[in-house]
Amino acid sequence: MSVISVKNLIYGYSKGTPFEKGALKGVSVDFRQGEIVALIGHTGSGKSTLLQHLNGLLKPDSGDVLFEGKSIYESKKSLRDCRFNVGLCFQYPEQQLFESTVYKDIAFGPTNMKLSDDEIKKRVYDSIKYVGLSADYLEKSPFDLSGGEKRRVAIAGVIAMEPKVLILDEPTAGLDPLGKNNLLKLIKDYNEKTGNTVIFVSHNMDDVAAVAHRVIVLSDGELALQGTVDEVYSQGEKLAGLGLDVPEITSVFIELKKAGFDLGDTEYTINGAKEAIIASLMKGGAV
Amino acid sequence: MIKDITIGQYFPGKSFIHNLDARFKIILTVAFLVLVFLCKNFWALGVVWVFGVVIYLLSRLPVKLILKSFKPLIPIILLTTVLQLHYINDGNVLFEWRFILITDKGIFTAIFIAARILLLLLVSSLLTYTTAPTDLTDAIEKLLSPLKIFKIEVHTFAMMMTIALRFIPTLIDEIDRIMSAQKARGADFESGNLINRIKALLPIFVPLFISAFKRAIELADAMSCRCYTGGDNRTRMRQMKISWRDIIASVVTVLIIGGVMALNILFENLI
Amino acid sequence: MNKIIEFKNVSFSYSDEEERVLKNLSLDFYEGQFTCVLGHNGSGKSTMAKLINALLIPTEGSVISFGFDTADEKNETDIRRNIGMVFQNPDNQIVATIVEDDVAFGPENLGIERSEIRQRVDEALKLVDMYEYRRHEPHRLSGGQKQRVAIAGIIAMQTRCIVLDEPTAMLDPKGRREVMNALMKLKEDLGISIILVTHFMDEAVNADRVIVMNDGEVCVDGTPREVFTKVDLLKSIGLAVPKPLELAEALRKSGVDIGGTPLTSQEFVNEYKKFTETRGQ
Repeated sequence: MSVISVKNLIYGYSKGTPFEKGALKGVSVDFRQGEIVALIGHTGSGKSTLLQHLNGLLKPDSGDVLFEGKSIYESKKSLRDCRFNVGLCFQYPEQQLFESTVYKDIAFGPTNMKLSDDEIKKRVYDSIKYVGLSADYLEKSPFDLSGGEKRRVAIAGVIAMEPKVLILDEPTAGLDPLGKNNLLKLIKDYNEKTGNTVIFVSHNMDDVAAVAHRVIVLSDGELALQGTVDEVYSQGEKLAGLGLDVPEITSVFIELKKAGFDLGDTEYTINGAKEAIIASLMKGGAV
Repeated sequence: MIKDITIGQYFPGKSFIHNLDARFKIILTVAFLVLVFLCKNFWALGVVWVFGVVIYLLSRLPVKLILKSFKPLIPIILLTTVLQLHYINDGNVLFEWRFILITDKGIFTAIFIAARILLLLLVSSLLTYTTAPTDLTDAIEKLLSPLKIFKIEVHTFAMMMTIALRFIPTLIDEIDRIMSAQKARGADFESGNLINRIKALLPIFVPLFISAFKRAIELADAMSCRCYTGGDNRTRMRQMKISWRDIIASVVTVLIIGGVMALNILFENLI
Repeated sequence: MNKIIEFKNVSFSYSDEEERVLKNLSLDFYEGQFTCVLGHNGSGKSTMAKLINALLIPTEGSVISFGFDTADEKNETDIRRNIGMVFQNPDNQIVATIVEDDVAFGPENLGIERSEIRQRVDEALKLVDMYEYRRHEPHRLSGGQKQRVAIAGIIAMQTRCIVLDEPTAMLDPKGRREVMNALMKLKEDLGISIILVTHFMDEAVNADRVIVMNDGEVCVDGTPREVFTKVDLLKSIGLAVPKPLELAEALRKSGVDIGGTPLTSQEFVNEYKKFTETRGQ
């Protein structure tokens, strides 16, 4: 079942100014309950614009966004409900921290939802756990934390609203490999524990392969490719044609194919590649 | 959205106005503003308006864009106009109700003032529309350089302006982003009473200030890494040159000032 | 090879109470080399970069850059004439409102003559492939373009060494490629020494030398090949290894040793070819 459906979305950026740039040229896409979707595309492909439509921050020139089958733009109330049902976490979210304690900052969203104090407290404690930090952090100032910790707190602030869909715009940007892996694990765990849909943007194809169930590729404001990770990554050449990086293992496979080795489907994980190479060697050995 | 405001922005171009020397452009803009205040009647103001429109046509800026960016200023102009209506009580009474008194002279004056304010805004924004920020700051530094004898740090002032101009667009983007992010967390900037609205700004301003300070510290490091030690012993790549255009523009402006004075004397003054 | 920068028993902490970020560090950098300093956040790599050109002064020990002791304030300009620095956030290091004016900023500070500045600016912008953007406003450029402008600003100062502190951390893949290409060109065309601080191991693959930092100390130091073959060590300190090498390693553990240490996909294909040929015989 789809949680959010985007119907033929058209949105022109900064209309009328000399710096006009077509951002979305009729995008239709469904996001299903419980899946992790990765949104990829080069800078300026319209990814961020699409994300900001999913929770109604932007209003399309034409087309519609449906949350659980109902247009989010129907009324002021439906729009506000959508804000809380679809949690959007921007790029470098740690830059939006402002409160004197981690607790207060995470509580900002739930407070805006006008929840009871007990419910707010429960949510703050739950969400700090989801992002892998201990409750000791709640009384600290967010500004005393390390970069990676700040980011987790900021994400907790969105999770605390208990959105049915969690959207993260480049959640791993600027993190080192360790911080990146931890964050990817967090996304996966959150999805498994809550069963909520997660949509995230990434430039790193290996990150995408590690957690996403499905991949959507945008190019110049249009939907270029979509499917499971396998389906999309097996079209490595097409991805490269769109100016996107392919996972490194995929590029090893593309090079191997060019060199005349037939290894079957294009693999993108170390394990898959290992198996495929060994299988091909066995076959070669048998001949 | 905040991004729609174009006043203060620069639109690159190659028109006659764009090519004027920035120092002349500043002086002539000031002269024009004085000129607008010199006008005492509709005849004089009409001439200056025509002059203003001609300058705009010469600058070949996109008309639509300029109209759009002046839209938010309409309420301010209307408000001052209405106030004028109220203050002027002489002339033939057209309408009277309780404390409201409208006279024909009041209406004329109001229109006159509105036309004046609009022209002032148009011309002063033309300066930034057609002058690259760098040229503007360079020109200000040059024009103010005599102040150096009073130990005023003209260079520092100009550098501060450059940096301000450089970071305005960056900070506008930043405000936009922070606002969107807080809205996504359910922040409401549009409803509630005054105190609540001011409170609602905290989630914007705290992150904005933190980021601005961070930027300032990093920029200071970057500048000192590039051997910046202030204005002494500094050379400049750009050179400002006076051309025939500047002479023509100055002569025309002087002639029009003369014309306006003449019109002020010839016709009855409104104010 | 000429030593250009010397760290002599350098320790550093940001304040008296805090732990030392660098611990008794001694190492040298050499002229004309592309050195890559790898490490995760908090490993001390950025602190080291800032010590090189006197943005920070060692708490203990000394740093000698191009013969000048960084601890002596008088040497500041002499050091920075020789060593330029590019930072992580592309927005926070561009001063001017027009690209070419920003590139001119450094040379102007050095008091270079007008016509000479013009020439240097044009050449620097051409080298980083940003010449056609010379009249643009920086805020309309992409991150990769802004970083290249920042690099051009250093080239125009004709420094002998350039230190880059995570210059690609905030860029998209395209921007990262653009910056890396510009750096390779710098090294090859101008022979400038490059010290690149990063946590992207793939940027280290083409370096002459890789220094891995961990916990304020040098953990591994050598050619990329020497460093990356220490797969388990790198993984244990939270760093990644080039994927082709990881694949070769995985194959080896499963009993298929294709030999060599392939760092790039092309190298992997070459090794694999060799391997299948010998096997076929």
